[in-house]
Amino acid sequence: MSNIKSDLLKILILSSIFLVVLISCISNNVDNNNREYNLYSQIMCPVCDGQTIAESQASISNDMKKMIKTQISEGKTDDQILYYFKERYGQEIISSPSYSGFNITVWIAPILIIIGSLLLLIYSLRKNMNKGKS
Amino acid sequence: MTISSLGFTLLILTMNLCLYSILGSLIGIKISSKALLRSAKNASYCNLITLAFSVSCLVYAFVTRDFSIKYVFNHSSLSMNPIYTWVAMYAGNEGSLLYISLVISISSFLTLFFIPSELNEAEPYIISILSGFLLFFVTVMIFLANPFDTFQNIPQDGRGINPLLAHPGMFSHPPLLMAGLATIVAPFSLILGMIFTGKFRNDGLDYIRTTSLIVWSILGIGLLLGSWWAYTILGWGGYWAWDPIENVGLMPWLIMTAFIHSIIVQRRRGMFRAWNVILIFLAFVLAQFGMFINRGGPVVSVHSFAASTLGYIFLGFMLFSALFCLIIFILNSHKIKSDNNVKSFLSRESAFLMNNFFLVAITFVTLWGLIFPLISELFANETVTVGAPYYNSVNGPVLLALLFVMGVGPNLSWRNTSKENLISNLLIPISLLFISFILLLFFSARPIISSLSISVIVLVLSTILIEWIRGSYKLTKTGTSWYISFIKLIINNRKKYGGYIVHISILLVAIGVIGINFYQIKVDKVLSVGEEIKIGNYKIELIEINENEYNDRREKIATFLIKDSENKTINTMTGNNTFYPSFNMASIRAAINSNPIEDLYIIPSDFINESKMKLIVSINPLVWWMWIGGPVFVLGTLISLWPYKNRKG
Repeated sequence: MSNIKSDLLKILILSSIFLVVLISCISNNVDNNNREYNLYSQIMCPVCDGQTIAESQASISNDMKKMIKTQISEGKTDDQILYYFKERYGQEIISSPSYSGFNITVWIAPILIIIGSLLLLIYSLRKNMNKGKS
Repeated sequence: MTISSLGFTLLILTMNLCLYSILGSLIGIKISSKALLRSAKNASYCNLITLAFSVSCLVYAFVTRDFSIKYVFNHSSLSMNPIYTWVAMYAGNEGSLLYISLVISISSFLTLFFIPSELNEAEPYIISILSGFLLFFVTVMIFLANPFDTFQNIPQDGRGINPLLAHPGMFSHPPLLMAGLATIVAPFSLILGMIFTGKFRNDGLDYIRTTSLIVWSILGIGLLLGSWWAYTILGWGGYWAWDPIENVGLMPWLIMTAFIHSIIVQRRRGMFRAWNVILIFLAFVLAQFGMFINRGGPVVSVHSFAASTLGYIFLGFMLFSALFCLIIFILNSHKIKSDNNVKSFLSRESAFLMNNFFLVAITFVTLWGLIFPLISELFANETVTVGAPYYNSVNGPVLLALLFVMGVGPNLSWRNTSKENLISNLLIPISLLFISFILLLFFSARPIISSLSISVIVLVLSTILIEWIRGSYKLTKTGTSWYISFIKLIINNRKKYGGYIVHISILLVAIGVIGINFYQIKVDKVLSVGEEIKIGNYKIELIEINENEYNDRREKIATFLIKDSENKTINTMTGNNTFYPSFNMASIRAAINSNPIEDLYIIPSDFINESKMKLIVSINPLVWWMWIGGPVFVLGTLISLWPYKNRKG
């Protein structure tokens, strides 16, 4: 019995480490030193296939970069700037879906599925191990 | 007979040879005729000859710039650099299909030529799968995408090669990647053959391992070279953009990585049989998914080189393969039961299981991001983009967990690890993990995740080094020197230590990724000739701007003088921005000064006039190590594959 307890403890520790990493990862996406480039890499180039304006050298991307710089110097927040582009080009101009509405599925589903199936895997392994012992 | 009709006739011949070898094998089994089976095998060998000649026809047409052939017209011109003629051969849809067919025929030749005797019974099935796969590509070419299609009126000059492809990296990246994806059929066919004969136990596992390792390393090198190409030519300092086409190449590689690990468990412990079958089926179907996305899939990508209207054909083939695999699995699942169960969480088996779990999880996350725009359009009627931020933040932690397993796994024993072993093996690596983590927390202002990643790398590296030191130390007791003992250690267990070297190459790639993602410095500035810009310890002076006009392109070259903080000259570098009017496309080549500590990366982003330009300058720490990872990866794979003298295969 104590064996099971210690195993559970290990699983608990491991999964909490996993969660801490996950959270720190998502929350650490914003690096203030590089605010400009952060915004560039969140906005897609409207005339290129699958490139953000940080990567693209198309003239419209350069114009959009200038616009972002101006807006930063005007003291606008990142959200306001992103909203500005979203209004004009639609949600697809932002390089990843928002955390609201139906789009939240893109973030939630894989996390839930991964954690869920990890627990399921551990549970079924446990069951098999106990069967082997008895 | 013109070269085009010769090439096409050879394709038709190949189609017939494929049909013959499939029917010959299947009927041969039915009536158990050895002669028919041998003849079917020879027919499949002949595919290599007919396809090699067919490819030669196309290459000949390219070399002579025979613009009567539409494909040659579309992908070459008189003014293009003749070096890139070979690249032009596979630069578009039709030619790349022909190239893929050649690769399939080579891989089926090798698979059948070196097949061990224990797989003799399964051979006819293996032949029909290989030939059936080839048949699909050849048929598509003959009826829908003929590379030898001709014009009635012969044009004077061709359109030329896509400028993005005119790069040395293109000699290796696309052919290796296509080859890797196509040849997954080799291990796939071997496993199917063994399932059909009801013998998927331990026979032939070594051979399957060898073929999978070869396929997997080809694919891996193809991916890494693609990164390198993106880094040097796309001219924005990126090495991996989570672009759909990159993702479809990555997913089969991840699944194959899981497979080459879990096949070890099957060899050692007779476990994970059904799971291995699922993995190889998944890898094969994902490779077909890649073909589909590449050739006219419903997603946008920077890689539109082979885009065609044939998407539906490849979608159909992918669905067919998925259904085929599903049916085969359901019908045979009772034959592929495992002999043992995982006995303890603290065992090598369970570490392998975790490795597999995280690899499949990364694949799933990637696939989900890839198809989510379609789901969103279908259910929420909204067009969205799923880009790098999603992949980085969801895959990042899973990758880290995978690295962690890579560090802990080798310290666990098969079946169960005793407490004493656990402590003696893990004490040093785990303490190093904590020490480096705490040190990094104090001395680095970067996000926690980067400190955590580095300390996990320390864990993996120390695990491997301790194992090497312990092993060599044992051998020094016989009187040999450390140096010789170390080499002996590796030679005596090549499979294991080759694997560890591959692990080190993965760490090297990880170090590069961490450097560029978390420690990059970037500035942009408009600079006139003679002016200077400072970044880090570098001073960059713009010396001159030159402009050259060619038939097919306008080239603007900027020359920079790089000095260190004490005004000592380090290097003179050039970056260029070339515009190709016939493609309405610019290709930017960055100036890169690379050393093990950091890369100075100058993007000539915009030439304003003859003496003024806009630069984006960045310092990318540790990227050098990522590219060193490539040769180390090859070395590890080769050591791991090197055959033993006294054993066959």
